Amino acid sequence: MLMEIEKLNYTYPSSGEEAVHALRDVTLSIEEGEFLALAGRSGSGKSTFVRHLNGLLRADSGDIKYRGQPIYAKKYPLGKLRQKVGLVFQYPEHQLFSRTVLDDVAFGPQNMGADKSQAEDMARKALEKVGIGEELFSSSPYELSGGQMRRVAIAGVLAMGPEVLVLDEPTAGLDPYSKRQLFALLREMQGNGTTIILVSHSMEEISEYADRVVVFLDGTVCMDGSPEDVFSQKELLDGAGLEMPQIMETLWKMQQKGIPVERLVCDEEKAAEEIFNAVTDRRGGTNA
Amino acid sequence: MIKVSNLVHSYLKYGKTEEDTISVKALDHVDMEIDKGEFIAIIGHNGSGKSTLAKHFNGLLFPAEGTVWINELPTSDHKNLGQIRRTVCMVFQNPDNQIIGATVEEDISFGLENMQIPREQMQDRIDRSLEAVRMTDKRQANPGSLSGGQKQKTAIAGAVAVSPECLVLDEATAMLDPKARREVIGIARELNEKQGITIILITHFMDEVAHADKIFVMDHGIVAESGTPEELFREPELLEKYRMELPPVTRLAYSLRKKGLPVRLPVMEPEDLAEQMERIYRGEQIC
Repeated sequence: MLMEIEKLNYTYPSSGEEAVHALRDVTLSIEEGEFLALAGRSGSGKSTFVRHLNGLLRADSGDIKYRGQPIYAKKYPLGKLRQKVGLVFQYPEHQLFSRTVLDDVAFGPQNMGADKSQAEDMARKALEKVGIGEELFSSSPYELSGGQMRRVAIAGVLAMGPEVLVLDEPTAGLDPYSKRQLFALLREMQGNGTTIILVSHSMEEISEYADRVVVFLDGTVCMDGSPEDVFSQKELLDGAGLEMPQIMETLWKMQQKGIPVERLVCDEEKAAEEIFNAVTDRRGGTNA
Repeated sequence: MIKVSNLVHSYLKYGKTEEDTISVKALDHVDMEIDKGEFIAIIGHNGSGKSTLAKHFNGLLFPAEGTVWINELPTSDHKNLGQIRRTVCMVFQNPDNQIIGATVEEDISFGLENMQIPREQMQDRIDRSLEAVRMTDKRQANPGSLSGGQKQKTAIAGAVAVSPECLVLDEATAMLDPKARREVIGIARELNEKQGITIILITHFMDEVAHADKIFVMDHGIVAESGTPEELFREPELLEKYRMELPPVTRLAYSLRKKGLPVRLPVMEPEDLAEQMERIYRGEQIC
């Protein structure tokens, strides 16, 4: 097991107003190489949770083990952990700050002790991975398009060579084409052994790309399983403030109307087949 | 109500030397007309120029060439700006960047105070706009304690209180969860239907544009296509050209049609497709 999270509790420090108990006894295991999605309505605790994974927030109680080592132990090297667990925040392009694209991406490795030429080398490789070409290396990051800026920001995290990549709503504000490009990159990284943890509001995205989805509700984990299993439980999903992906919703609605749809699936092709079989079966020999 | 003619917006892209510095056209001769009471959607990939265009609708940007008229007043004449900004109000993407009051009520009253609306009238306007976005119970709340959706509703209420004729939502739902997104769009539709406010919705979410009266597709600074959702969603290839995608249920309906089922296209809602499938299943003719 790559990460084991046990009974994590966290309350936001507050001044006077009601304290927000953001995480309550969250227990979760993360396997190496999986593509894990975290879902839940705004304020459910998922963003707070991921900020614990690299020690950015420290839990009030509970434990996190990375490769068996408890990260809250006295001499645990948190700096190293932050290299291994890369966190990409919402709107990461707001954190670009250097004069050129290459400088910006090389900043992290340099900060971790690499010399300038080593750091630039790492930056080049990371930029290549995210599909930013050499011709943009000396541009100012602010001259790039939204999608490009986001890829540069992600390259900044990749340059540190993370084993786990955590992304908090990485596609907010991106057009469909840029989204697909980003997911192609994540898939490729998963193929190379990187563990991907994705916080997302899009059930469509999750059903298309994740192996497993964990649903947060009021600071606790309320569902955990394959996207198909989780999303087909309409009542629990409703209770968590989430909606079925459109395709599955169509199949579910057909079932409600008494049409013998066998399985609630998210995949477009499988759904088309399900539906075709369901509606043509009954008609038997009658012509279409 | 809004007329755009030959609009060009350009900015300078600075190079290493003066010769490398070039002028880039974010809007390249755009023509557009929007009638009062319409629900308009503007879509287009990142960098296509849609947000730049929106900022011309209430004089946040000024034309380099061409003209934008709001109710016949050109935005290029600074004397008109006060009037124009009361006519067209904007709500932006990030809920945290546009709230300034210490309470929801105070935030909404900011625009009204700016307009020097008398106190009695102000209360009434605040009441009505809070009601319109269903936030009456949050009147005294600290905006910092609100969810993203509630913050966006506060921003909309602040705009509605000014009684604009037109409300521009510039990717106002991009940061919201699905339920909050649906609610904000529902409120926009209600403001359009009940109060006749012209809505201009800028978005990447195709399911949000399904109910628009008209859609404009922006691409590289021009209006590449325009039409009703029915017209533009009829063939998936049309939008793909501009790096857009149809909603999943719309695509599913195409696949079913390809498989030989008599589906009436385009389908924009799961309910519609489920109903059509029910009729086919029960052997009724739908075409």
